[in-house]
Formats: sequence, structure tokens, C-alpha cells
Amino acid sequence: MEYYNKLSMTSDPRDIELIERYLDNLLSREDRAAFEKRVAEDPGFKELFELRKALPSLMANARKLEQTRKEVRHSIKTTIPIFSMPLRPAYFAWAAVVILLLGICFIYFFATKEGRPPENKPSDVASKQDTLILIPGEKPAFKANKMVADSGNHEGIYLVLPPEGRIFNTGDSILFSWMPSPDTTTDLNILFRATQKNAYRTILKPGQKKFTLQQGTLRPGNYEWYIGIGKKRRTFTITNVSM
Amino acid sequence: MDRPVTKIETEVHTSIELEPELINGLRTGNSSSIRSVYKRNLPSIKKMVQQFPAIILEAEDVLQEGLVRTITNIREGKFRGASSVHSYLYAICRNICLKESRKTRKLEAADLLYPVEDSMEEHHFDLLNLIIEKKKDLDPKCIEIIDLRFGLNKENETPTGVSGMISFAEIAEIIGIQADNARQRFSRCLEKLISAVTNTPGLWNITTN
Repeated sequence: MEYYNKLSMTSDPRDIELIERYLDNLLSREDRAAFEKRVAEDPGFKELFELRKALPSLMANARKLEQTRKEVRHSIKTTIPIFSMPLRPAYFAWAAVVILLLGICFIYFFATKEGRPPENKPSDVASKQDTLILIPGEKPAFKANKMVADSGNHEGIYLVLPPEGRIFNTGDSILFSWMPSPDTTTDLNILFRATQKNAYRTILKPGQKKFTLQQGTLRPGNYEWYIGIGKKRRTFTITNVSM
Repeated sequence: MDRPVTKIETEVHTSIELEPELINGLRTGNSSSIRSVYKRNLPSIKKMVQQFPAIILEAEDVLQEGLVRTITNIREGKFRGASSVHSYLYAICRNICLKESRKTRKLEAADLLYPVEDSMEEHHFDLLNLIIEKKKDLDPKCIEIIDLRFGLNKENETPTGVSGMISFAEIAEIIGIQADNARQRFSRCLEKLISAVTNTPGLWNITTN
């Protein structure tokens, strides 16, 4: 086995082309002699020539090595069960990222949608019932067990429906309900949230505890509503985008 | 009177009996032989790799490369059976780790205690791996013409090497260009490959048989 120091070797496509002509015996007698003289006198060219002669064998060996590698990979691929793979720190990091993302998705879907557990947000139980009433002609997907008043209302009238921040479509009728029924005549007021100007007002009879606002009464926007003097207020939104 | 055979003797005897079969299995690329050697040596290679905290290779990578080199040496007749296949494989894997370790740090006293054996052979494998890697970076047309010239173009046939060199007239016919153009293209492509291989840092020489 011979060693050729790479530092003195140069490679030029024209030199390689010349070597190819020499190896294919295409050079004239004079050119052949000149070629051999150069090989004897130019160490860099000699190394290139020797390397060129060795390359087919080297590349054939490289090819064999690659084929052997494929055989070994194929054989051991079926050997290593997944559970015996080494647990590298990076795996734990990626697992943590995935769990975190799943957690965020879980919170997003269950904490912001209607399915939030009632023990976390009691007023949403009422919102389920609200849905039962507010979408006429549509069969409810669930049934509320009982009406739960807003736990924040401890004095005066409890606002029950719709719950705080509820979004309606312009095609929805909106049921407003409250507890207890007032003994005297009072009113239901709906204000534009931004300007606090009155958007809708209706007089309630003594003992009345609910009122249905027909669809299309209010245009899309953000509103507040309250009963009587309005110690307790809630907001809701009407949108013309189908939900 | 026959002397009773001890347990140790039985194990040694079995091991010696199985060795030629195992070597033959590796030579012919028998999957179960390769798997058997891999499974048996993985624990010891894992322990050995742990002694080289500086290297980024996993024990599985080291063992796979060691196995490839062992099989290659068996096929080329370089493994003479002076030691068991497992010891031979272990030594090759250790050399891989030592070389990898030396890439990442300065030579230390420990290196003298575990010198790299048969460094010429190690360089040879490094060079072959480098050729494989650099060849893959070439343009597909370059790979095609180099493989044609060196008789490496047939996927499932044993490469023919020097004796299987194809003339540019034949190559021209296959590719559909002039012979002179084929030679020029080949020369440019080979120059790219040679430059890529010889300019790789850390490769201090090129070996040829």
C-alpha cells in the first residue's frame, strides 16, 4: 500500500484529460514520451497520475463498502426493538414540547368553548340551557340539569341568561331571564357598550322573569344589558357571522 | 477413563466450532449472522463508548461501522482468524472511538495506553467513506459518467475496477454525445471529486493499493 501526500498534488481537468488519453493509448509517440517525461519530473503530476490509476480500485472498494453498509443496516434494522433505542436527552425535550402543546390545545378547546366543566365556571351551565332556548328549530345536543344563577349576584336581581360575553348570530332570538321576578314594574335596558347609549328598552310587568328579544331587533355590535337600576350588568355580542 | 468436560471447556469448544460458521455467514452477508454479532457485541461496545465522553457517536453507530469494516476485511481476506471475530470487531470499534475522540481534543497520555491499531487500514476506510460522501455531492451527470468510465454503473453487479474501464467511445454511445465531449465531461467531473476529497481537512494522505 502506497501513500501519496496530498499537499504536492494538483488536479486540473486538462491534466486529467491528458491522462485519460494516455491510458486509452490515444497519444502519439512524441506526446507519449513527453507525458512520461513529465511524470518523471513533475511530482505533483506524478501523484495525480498515480491517484488516477488507483481511483477505479478505490471507488470499487468504496462501492463495496457502501453495499456492505446497506446489508448491515438492513440486518440490524429488524434487530433493534423500538423500546431498546437509547433515550437521549433530546428525546425528553421533544416529548416535553409535545406534551406542552397538547396541554395548550386542551386548555384552548375546553376552557374557551362551551364544554368547560361547570365547577370551573358555574355560569356556563346556564349558558347550556340558554342554547336550548335560543336556537329555534334546532335539536339541542345536551340538556342542562338545572338553572344556576350567577354566583357573583348576591344582592338584588340575579341575571341568569344570557351569560356574560355570550355571542349571538343576527338570526338568533335572545332570551333574557333573571331571578327573582321583581314585585314592581321595572324595565330591561340594552345599551351600546361603546357609547353607553340606549339601544333597546322594554317595560316589564310585575312577576315577569324572562323576555325574548326577537331576531333582527338589534344590529350586529357589542351590548350591555341590565334590569331596573342596573347594579348588575352583563355584556353580549351580536354578529352576522355564522358560528 | 474419559475426563469429564467442564462447563468452561464446553463453552470454549462451542465457540470455536461456531466461529467458522459465523465468519462464513458474515462473508456471505447472512442477516442472522450479522444480527447475532450485533446483538452479542452491543452491550460491550456501549460500555466502551461510555469511556469516550468527548465523542458524539452513539454505541450503535460505532458498532454498525465496526461491523461494516469487519465484514469488509473478512471478504478481502484481511481477517486471518488470529483472534475471534468479536475481539477483532471490538478492536476496530475501539479504533473508531479513538480516532473520533482525537478529532475533538488534543492527544493525551491515555491515547498512548490505547494506541490505534493498524492505522493504515483505518485511513483506508476513512478515505473510502470520504469518497462515498463526496461522490454523493456531485451532479448526477458526473456520477453517471464516472461510474460508466470505471465500470461501476451496474447497481447489483460487483464493481470491475481498473480492468472494467469503459472507453469514451462506448460511453459516448450510451450517453448520446461525442467521445471527446464525454472525455472532457469526465475530466471535469473527476477533477471535482479529486479536489473535494483531497481538500478535506484531516485527510493527510491518500492511500492506494
